[in-house]
Amino acid sequence: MTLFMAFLNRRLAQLRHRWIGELSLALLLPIGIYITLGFGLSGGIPKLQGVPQLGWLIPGIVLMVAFAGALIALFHDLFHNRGINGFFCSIYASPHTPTSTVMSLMFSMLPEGIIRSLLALGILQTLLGYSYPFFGQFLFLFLVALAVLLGGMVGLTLGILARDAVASQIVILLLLLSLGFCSEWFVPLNVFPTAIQPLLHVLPTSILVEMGRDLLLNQDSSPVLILVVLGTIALWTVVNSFLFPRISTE
Amino acid sequence: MEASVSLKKVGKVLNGRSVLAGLSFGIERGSIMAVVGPNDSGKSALLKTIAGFSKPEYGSVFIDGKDVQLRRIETASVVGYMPQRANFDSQLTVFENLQFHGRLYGMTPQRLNNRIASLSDRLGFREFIHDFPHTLSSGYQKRALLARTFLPDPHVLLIEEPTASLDLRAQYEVWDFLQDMRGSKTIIYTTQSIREAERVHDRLVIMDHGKVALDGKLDRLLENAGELFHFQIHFKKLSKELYDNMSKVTTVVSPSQVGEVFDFYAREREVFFDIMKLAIQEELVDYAADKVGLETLIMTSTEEPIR
Repeated sequence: MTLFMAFLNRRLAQLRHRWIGELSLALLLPIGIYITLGFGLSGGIPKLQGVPQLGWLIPGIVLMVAFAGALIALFHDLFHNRGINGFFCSIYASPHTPTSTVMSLMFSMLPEGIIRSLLALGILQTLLGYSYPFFGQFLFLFLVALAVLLGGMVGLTLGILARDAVASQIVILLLLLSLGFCSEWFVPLNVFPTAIQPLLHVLPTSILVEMGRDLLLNQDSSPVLILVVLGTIALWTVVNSFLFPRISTE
Repeated sequence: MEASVSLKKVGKVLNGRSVLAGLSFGIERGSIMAVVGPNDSGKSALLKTIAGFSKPEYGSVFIDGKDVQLRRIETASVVGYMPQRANFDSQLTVFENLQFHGRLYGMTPQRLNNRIASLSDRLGFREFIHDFPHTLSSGYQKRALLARTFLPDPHVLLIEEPTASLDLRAQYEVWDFLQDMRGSKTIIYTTQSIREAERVHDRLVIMDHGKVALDGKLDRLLENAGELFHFQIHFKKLSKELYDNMSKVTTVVSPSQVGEVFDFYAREREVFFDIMKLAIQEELVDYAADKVGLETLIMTSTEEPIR
């Protein structure tokens, strides 16, 4: 808890110093994605009963904001403060295990990620002119939290392993773009070849968005699949705990 | 006296090169140990290995009798490590950096704020505490780094180049600060400044190629080195023939020619007169004779010179 509070306070202090940029991004990013995808992909989005058509897109955009926000923030933090100035060496030298450090770093992204996603959800519902069921929105925040943790895990791994800033940014861009489409965030999976659809359905990011749509649009999906997401996060935590000591040898 | 830090046959290999070669020694509680040596002699690797975040290939390091690799959490809580280069989070102010560091070590807010106030006063950077680290001069960054290391009050301090890039006044302030800790903290610091090492130490370790070349108190080391004298004779013209003749004198140690200067060491003062007899016909510009100090001791103990 001490370590989590230390990282949380650090993150809050960082955000305090650049709140204008962060707030602008939090407000404009979902609007930008919504308008771009809404115009560009409206033909491929399924029509919904009693809900405006673009209502299908919003859970995907919000989960992407949560996932990408944590991924980029943690990648940048690790990459910048690991190689360039060695700040993470001083964290590694403190009396904490790599596992507790990795988990605290990841969980410290939760409040920010949830607030960012709530803002996105509010703005997009206003633009849509439709409000999802309140209880569904409340439960949806749990999925947002999982998306933040998942994104944070990927960001940590990339931040620890990355060697070149430009190459890493290209990897992140490609990853987000491919996940955006292959995880049903932006388009339904039935646009992909039938052979790979089962594989795409069990991606943790696909499971999150399918469950999100279930909660917000009353579609059907199996809640058991959440175990796949939780298992992925747990496994990735273990991997990152093994990788984390690498930063001390630089 | 009880050993605070002890090393048992510690060896470390980096990129196929041995940077620590089977080191074994103990460091007494409350003492100040200076580690001196040329670049790449293994000083930094030694400190990182003692701190526990660089794993030795063989051997063990113990702090208060606990193996730093097997009981890292316990040992890390009593060790403070200060790197040579300032490694602050550039997105936080100095104050926020210190706060974060204190929280990492579980300090209560009140104790943390009191410690930050007293350390920033003592080390003279309080007026810059709400600035970002990269806006400070390297000297003030160093002071803030020292404050961060001392913040959780560790009793073993591993400090790399504590006064590098500090002006003379700041160097004295830092050494005063470290001297005040003598007796209560075990301090191990690396330096390339021979004068600093001569002035502040209870024990001196001279490292070369990952090995301890010399270890002890300066006066003891000089005593053990025996009567060693350093001579420099400046001729108007030092011919090759004369240089060869003088170098062949069996009592001359490590002769070298620097321009028109004949530089050599000897165990006895009389050797100087033997040399002068050989050069009686030559015109002399100047000469210098010194009893050996730490600098020459290091020069004769290591393969590469240090500044």
